[in-house]
Amino acid sequence: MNEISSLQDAALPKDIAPLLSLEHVSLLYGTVIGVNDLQLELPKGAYALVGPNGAGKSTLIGLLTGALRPTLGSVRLFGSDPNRSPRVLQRVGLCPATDLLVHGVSARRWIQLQLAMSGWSVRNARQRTDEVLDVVGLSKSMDRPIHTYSLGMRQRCKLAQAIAHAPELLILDEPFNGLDPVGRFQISEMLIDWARSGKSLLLASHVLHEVERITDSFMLIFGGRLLASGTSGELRRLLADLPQEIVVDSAQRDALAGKLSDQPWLRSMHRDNHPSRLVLTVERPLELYRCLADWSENGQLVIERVTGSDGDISTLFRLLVSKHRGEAIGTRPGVSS
Amino acid sequence: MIDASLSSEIQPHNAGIAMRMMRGVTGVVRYELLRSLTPIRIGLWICMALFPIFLILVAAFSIEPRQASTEEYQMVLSILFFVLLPEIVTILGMLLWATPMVNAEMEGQTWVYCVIRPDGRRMMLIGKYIVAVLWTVSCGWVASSIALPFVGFVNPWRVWVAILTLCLLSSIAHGALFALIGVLVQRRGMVVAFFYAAVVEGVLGWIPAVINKFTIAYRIRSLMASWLDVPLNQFMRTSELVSDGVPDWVHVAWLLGGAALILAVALWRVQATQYVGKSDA
Repeated sequence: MNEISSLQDAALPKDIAPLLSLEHVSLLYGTVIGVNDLQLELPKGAYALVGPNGAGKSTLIGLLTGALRPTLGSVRLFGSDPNRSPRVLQRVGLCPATDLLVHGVSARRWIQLQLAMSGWSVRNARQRTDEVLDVVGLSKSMDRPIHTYSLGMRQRCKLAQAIAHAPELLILDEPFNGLDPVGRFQISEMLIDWARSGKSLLLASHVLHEVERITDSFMLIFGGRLLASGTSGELRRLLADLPQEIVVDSAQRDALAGKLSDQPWLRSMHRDNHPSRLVLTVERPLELYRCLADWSENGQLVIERVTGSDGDISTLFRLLVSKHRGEAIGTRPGVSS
Repeated sequence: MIDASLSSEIQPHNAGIAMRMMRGVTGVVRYELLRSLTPIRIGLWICMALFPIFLILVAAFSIEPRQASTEEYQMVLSILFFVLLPEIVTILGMLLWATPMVNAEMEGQTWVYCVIRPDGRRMMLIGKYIVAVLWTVSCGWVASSIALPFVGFVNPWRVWVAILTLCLLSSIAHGALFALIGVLVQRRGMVVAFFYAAVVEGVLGWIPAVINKFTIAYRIRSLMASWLDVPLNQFMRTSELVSDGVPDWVHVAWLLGGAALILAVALWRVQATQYVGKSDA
């Protein structure tokens, strides 16, 4: 098995190798599952790994960076196993989610250390440190001890060390934690520029709207499993096929309920405390919208308001998580799980 | 707007592995030495240097002046120097600086930055080991240099050179051993290292049997017996507490070779081990 892996390493030119590939990767922490049977192959590009806290994002990043070894399966980064061929990590920059608890050392000194450990000479490391701290907006406070920084400044410091050695792939785990709105905007802009420059990016976050600005490719992870992957367009099409909760306000609530009760795509219906409100769960929302439009146009019913899914990925995520948890939500979406 | 592109055109990847290792290790040494210059660490260093000086001076001044040239005086002070500096100060120093190498990085949540560099874990281990040796040896050297002029040794230069050399050899050997313990036992490394020092070096090392030949204490003691002319030497030789007839270079080679071997195991182990932090567990 080792020989085959080595042959694959040798045979696959590094330039055309996929950014990362996971083959049935599982990792157990004792009896707790970290990630479960992940299978994925991604070409170079920018991707967002989205999932709630504890979903397995950091574990997956640990596997990609060689900090963790899979219990089962194989992990490849640029065609190489990061555990057997750690040299590949030279091409990776990591900004971890954990806070930076360094005492008594300035950001400048700390990043110089990181560059020294990447094989940089003292002179070059000094020059690059000044450049990179300027990039993240810490040039004025680079000589202050890191433990006196705010959380947002420490986040920028971590980001600076991740990009300092000019990696081809930048992996960020919750990079927006602790950043103020201006900081979030600035870091987002920097990451957008990074992705546009042709370099690869893997961004793990539990905040969907922040990553939507940066990349159009998503992987949704929960419970150590990849629930779905694709572009936002593909995920929205997926969303259209999923059952959704929709609230309809009409003065003719009972008449509306009567008409809806015959529809095959209606899963459930109940009255809200509001006298004119019906709360529906429908399997094909587009069918509901078409019927409501017809009934309103023909003068059969007066529809005052329809409040449904906002159509964003958070809804899809919520629904996929519900499905993963075994909650009955209707039709099976075409997701990879 | 922030620009992600960097102006520098430096190509660090061209450096060979040896050059990269050297840069990384020297970077860690510089960084750790700088971090050592905190009031707490400097205070610890001063305390560790002062306590043997204090005990030696108490012993030296509590003996009547007319006895200062006697063999017993020379012997007691020589043994006190030996026990305090190459043994206790060195072991304490290495407990404090060599054993928690990995654990300190895990506690500070900075281990991940070593892992992400191809040779980062090895660079960190070697760099911290060098700093631990420098820190501990400097403490022993300063303590012996201050205490020696107050003690009326017949041949003070000989004692001084012997103690300095023994401090260096002891630090190298104990440092490697405690570094390995720190790599193998992440969270209770200091406790294990303490018990190792107490049981193996402190008890087994003084048992007159074959087993004591595998301890650092036996080798250091044998070198002391060879380099310092102590009246107890004959007794220790017949009791197998020091070697009899074994050349000094064998002991030095044993200490340095053993340290190199142990350090090699620690380097292999630190690269192979999957350390899990509190947040991951």
